[in-house]
Amino acid sequence: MEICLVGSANTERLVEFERFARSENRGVCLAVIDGGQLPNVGEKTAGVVIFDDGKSSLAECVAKIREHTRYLGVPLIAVAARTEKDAHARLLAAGVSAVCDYDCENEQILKKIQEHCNAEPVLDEIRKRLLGPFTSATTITMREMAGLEVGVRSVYQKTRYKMFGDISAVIGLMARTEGVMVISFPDHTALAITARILAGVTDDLSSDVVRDCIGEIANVIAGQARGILSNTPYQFAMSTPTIVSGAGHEIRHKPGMPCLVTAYTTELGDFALQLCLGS
Amino acid sequence: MKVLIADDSSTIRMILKGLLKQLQITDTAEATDGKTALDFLSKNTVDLLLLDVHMPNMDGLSCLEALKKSPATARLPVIIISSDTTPAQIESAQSLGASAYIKKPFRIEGLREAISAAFPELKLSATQEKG
Repeated sequence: MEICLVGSANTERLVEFERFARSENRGVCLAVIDGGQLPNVGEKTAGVVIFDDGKSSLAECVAKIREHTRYLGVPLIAVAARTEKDAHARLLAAGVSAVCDYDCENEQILKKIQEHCNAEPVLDEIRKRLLGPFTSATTITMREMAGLEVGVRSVYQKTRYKMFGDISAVIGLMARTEGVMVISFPDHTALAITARILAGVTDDLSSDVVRDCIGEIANVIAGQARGILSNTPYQFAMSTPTIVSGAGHEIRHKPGMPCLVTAYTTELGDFALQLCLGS
Repeated sequence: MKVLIADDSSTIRMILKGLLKQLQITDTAEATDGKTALDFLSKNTVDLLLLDVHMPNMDGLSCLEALKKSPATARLPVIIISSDTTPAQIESAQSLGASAYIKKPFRIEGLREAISAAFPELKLSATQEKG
């Protein structure tokens, strides 16, 4: 698992931590703020550490990275000086998981990554037998309804991670145990997908229309997956969709039940499908 | 030809209306669940019902069953359009007398084939609008 370091190329603190991380046999990749480069975050990323260079606006950079890593479940740790009152609070509000003082021990940064690690790998068997059908269903649904090709960016099991979305469709799944499927979109992605689906049919892209469209996408994905999983240990019945909306709303999963997340990427933006379903 | 579209999703109702328009069928009515569809059909006559399955208040299969039991609507062609793709659900719809079962997501070709099968005398040709 790699740690992704973000900062100016010559930020001393970054160079120092990089040396330390390598000495601890941790994989490291670098992203340079100066060039506007976003970190290359994926399933092998253990965490992102962003270093204050005293020049760039760290909160702005954090917000940009949080948007880029939305739904991926990676902790984002800021290493920043307490130059002014509430500086750390502002970074937390911008989306970091934790803040370390600029002069903290290197071990503390590693410890924070571990503390805030909220993604575990998914067993190949579960990935193939349970998530595979949902991924096929999502691919078919998006292609047929919106003419949109989707790619899987990350698959992981949530631990403590709170899933934030702007609009989510929730479908209850009745199996041997009660489960749930949640599909979450940022507002701009939900709007763009709705516009694609309803192109030539209506120009009305009001919030009610977007909500209904997102609900129908979830309904079709769950229905497709239900067909593929019928007569398997994962077969389920499903409810009609319920929509939850509001910027940055939080979807928590049922305690004690594994919650699998697939983060998708598309040309219209990223979205995530959460699945809590036992066999 | 007059078509009643019964689906709780306004998205699907809009898409179906658009596709029917491309097939030169413009006389449509809408219902948001099985109960509303039954109420509408007790007072109005249509030539075809496009019916979703998973709907609140009354689901599509219960609606289909009620329609087939009533002499006034027993012969009404009903095309099920559902996201539920389980073989058991499709068999249930067929045994209750559905003319066809279209799986969501659907394309205009599937809709045209299903309508043509129910109305062999009808010549349906699609215009080039996006569906």
